[in-house]
Amino acid sequence: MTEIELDGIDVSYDGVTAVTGVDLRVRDGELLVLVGPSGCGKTTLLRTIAGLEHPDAGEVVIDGRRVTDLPARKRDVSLVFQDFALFPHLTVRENLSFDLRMQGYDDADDRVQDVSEILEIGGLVDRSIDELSGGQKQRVALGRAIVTEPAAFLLDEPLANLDASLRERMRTEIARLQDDLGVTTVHVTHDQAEALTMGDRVAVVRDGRIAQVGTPEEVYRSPASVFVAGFVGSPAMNLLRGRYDSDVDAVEIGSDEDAADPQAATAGVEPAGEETNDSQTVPVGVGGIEDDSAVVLGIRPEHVEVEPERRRDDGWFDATVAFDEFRGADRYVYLEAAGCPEITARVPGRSSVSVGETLAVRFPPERLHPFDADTGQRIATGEQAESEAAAPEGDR
Amino acid sequence: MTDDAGTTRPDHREPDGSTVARREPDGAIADRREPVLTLPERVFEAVDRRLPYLFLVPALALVASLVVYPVVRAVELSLHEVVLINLSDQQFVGLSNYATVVSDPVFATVMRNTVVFVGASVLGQVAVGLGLALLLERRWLGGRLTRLFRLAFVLPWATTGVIVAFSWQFMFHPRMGFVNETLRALGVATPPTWLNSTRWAMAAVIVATVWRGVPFSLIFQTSGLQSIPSRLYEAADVGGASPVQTVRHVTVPLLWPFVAMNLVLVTLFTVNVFDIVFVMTGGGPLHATEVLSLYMYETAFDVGAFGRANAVAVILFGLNVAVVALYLVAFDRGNGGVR
Amino acid sequence: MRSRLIELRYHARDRLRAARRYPERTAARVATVVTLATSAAFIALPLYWLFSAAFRPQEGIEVPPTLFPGRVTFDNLTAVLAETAFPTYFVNSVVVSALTVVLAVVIATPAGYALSRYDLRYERAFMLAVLLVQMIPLLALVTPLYQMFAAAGLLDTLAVVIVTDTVMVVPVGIWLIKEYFDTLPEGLEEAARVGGATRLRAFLVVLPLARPAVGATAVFAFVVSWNQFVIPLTFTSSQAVWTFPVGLYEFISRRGVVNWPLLGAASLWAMFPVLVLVAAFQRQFVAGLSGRFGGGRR
Repeated sequence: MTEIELDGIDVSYDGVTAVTGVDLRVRDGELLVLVGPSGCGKTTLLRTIAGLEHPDAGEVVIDGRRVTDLPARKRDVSLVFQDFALFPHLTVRENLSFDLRMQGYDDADDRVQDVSEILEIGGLVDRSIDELSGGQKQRVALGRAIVTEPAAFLLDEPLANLDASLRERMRTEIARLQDDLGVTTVHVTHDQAEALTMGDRVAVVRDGRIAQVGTPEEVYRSPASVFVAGFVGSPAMNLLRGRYDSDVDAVEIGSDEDAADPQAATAGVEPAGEETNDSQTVPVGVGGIEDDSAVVLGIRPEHVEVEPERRRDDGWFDATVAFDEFRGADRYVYLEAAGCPEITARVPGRSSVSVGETLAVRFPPERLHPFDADTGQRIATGEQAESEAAAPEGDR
Repeated sequence: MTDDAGTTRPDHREPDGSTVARREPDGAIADRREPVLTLPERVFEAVDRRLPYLFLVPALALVASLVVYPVVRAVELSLHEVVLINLSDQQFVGLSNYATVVSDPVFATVMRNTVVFVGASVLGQVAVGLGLALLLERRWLGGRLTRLFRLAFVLPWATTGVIVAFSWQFMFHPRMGFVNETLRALGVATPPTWLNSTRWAMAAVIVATVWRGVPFSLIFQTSGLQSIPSRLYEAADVGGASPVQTVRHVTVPLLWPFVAMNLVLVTLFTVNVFDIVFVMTGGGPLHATEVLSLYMYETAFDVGAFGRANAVAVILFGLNVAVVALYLVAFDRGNGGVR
Repeated sequence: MRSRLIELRYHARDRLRAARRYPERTAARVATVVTLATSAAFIALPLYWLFSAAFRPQEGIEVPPTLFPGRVTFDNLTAVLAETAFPTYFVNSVVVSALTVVLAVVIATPAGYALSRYDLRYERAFMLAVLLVQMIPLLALVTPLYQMFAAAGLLDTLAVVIVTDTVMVVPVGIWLIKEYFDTLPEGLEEAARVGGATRLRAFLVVLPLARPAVGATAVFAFVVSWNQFVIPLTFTSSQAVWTFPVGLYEFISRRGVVNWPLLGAASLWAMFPVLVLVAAFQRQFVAGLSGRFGGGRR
């Protein structure tokens, strides 16, 4: 039974803050993914758990035991590094047994034997590290981590150095291994798709803070902030800035005079184009938003409704196809509409569109994610929760 | 700051009970978990955490006691009247040692010699080193031939200074030397007596010094040439540049910082050359080859004016500091300007 | 053997064909090789001149001298060992160099490692200091050091020579080792530490990887201390503790007439270890010479 708790962690390097006030609980046996853009502090958090960084403030608790001041070697965790950090002058066997020897086990040989069988590298144990392929090195690195049966695994972008096809395979393999062993695991990645695929839960990190923690479904379906909304999912969620008018329960896109406000940039939303004379009105149909407040509406590309005939009914507006990409099962259509930033729509691959064509576009109100444009936080609405439950499987 | 709302919700996927159980009965894991560190462990940890500083202590101690302190000591001694025979008797005399040195007529000769010796030797070393480096940096030469040549070119640097001096003394030997034998064969009836001649001794000493110093410049320039990405040459080639244009627009501007640094470093070495001159001529004949380093040494250990010798040492040190300052400026420009 | 000959024949034919097709390029290449070979000969000449004297008979060197000895003898090589104090100097040199190498490696390796691996306060200042110390002239330190050693009663011992030689080479060693560790991934020690090793143990685990840099430091320390002249000349006065450069110097300065064959023989013996070392460890020697690991285009 191993739980990892971070309690008010601050870490800085030479006065530069890397992590601020992070509280996080990793439950027993789960695989938690820390995901975020590079430099967001996710690796620092992992290294703090491992004991390679000492926090300026806060506590690290592993298994109910306060380990903040405990050196890395006493923490009973194992860390898999991005570049694997295998000792090039030792054989595979010596690498696998390294931690065992350091910690003074007597049954090193048997354990190495078992682990090399689990990871199917039994035939390689007497090779030198230089003779191994990338995938084999990855397995040895994993083997070295699990051989001591540590209380927790910490994985620092272990897949980043593998080529694309191998990465897909190792993703599944690591997730399965973790499931089989049932060891509490923290996995760091910058790849949101990897985070959604592998994680039991996902913690999105931004600027040294946790932006959202939840299951992959929660993070995908109800992102807590504009940042999470834009970061998770591919192609990225459409984010449109506008002003809410409670009389018609709709948001007028591009009508926000504060569009050039620097806050917009920090919230990760590009202000609308300069031609704000012509704008689009998007009915929200949820209520609960303060009248005349600046909001950001998010809608996933797969939820944008597109129809070939022009429609004049409520909520539909015209958009021109600027570009399209065929992706096999899907097709990404990039649309331009007056007063709007470019909109991405994801339509079935068999549908045909041509550049320059004018289409009718609608954002179904139940699919919209409203955010406060100033704070970037999600605006809680009653109907949102129901639509989540009804929403089909997303980008998984 | 979002607090961890997820922790209060039920887990969507409970871990498989059996896999958890498999870890539980493992006694070995439970045994080695001490909740806190014992006192010796804590002490050990405190030491271990300061390991990098401990690693630096011997080097720091050595440098502080045998480099930094002596520099301070030299300045101090230069302000005292001290004789070699009785080093503990030190009379404070202020700057009078410096005054004596500067007003010494030999000192003027020494400074002139130093300028000639350093200037000519440095130019010779860098020019020959650069030339050979450029010649040697040919891919078609092949690895083995390049290594063989480099080994031959590097030999002088590995040779003991005293032996270098002997070799050239022998080469310049008026009767038995290779140089005069060659000159006689070329029809020079009375070749110079070289080391015994006030006119030619300096030239002989400079030749020996250049010979000794070429390897350093060669290696330094080779690393400079190798720092120029071969892609640039390929780009120049594809772009239709002639070999001369390539040298003019690629090699020269990119190599210039290395040449500048090389010049300064070699100046530094040459200012402090002692063994070659000391063994070849001992500063003679008639102070003709007496450079600053020799003058300092002789003032201390032949004349026995130890305080005055320290004044010369401080002057020598100041000269070095000036060159190092020049080096740092060149280094800065080399880093910021071209790269 | 036969196939090798055929290979050579084809190689020569290719070369000839290329020469006929590109006469200018061939001329330039021949000129380059000739220049390089001439330079190499010129550089080797002074050493050859001295060393060849070792094989010339004692009866006196022929005047006018010949490029090759008329009669080759090995008497000088044995005589210098049997009849002079040279063996003592040689043994002293071996002792001094061996201990300098050990001390320099033991002091420079951890220091270079610490500077490479840890974000130390004042690290930049320290590296700059290392660079400056490397440039401070030993010569300006000779007089104050002499006074210090005299006051401590340490003059005329091998220990003083060894310690001073070590100070001379430690900065370069620190620099070489730091630069080398900079190229090794830091994760290695972190992996060791998470795996249960102390920082000290982690250092020892990765130490074998730094063998090239430690080797370069050792070669550099050996060559510098082996050739060192001013330090033993100044700090030692009795023959029993002279290293060979001082011995050789006294050898020539004490007597009016130089015995060139004997001097050549002694020089040859003295240079032998360095020549072997430099030939065997050319890369390390070159690295120590330029203070960095170059080689190979980036």
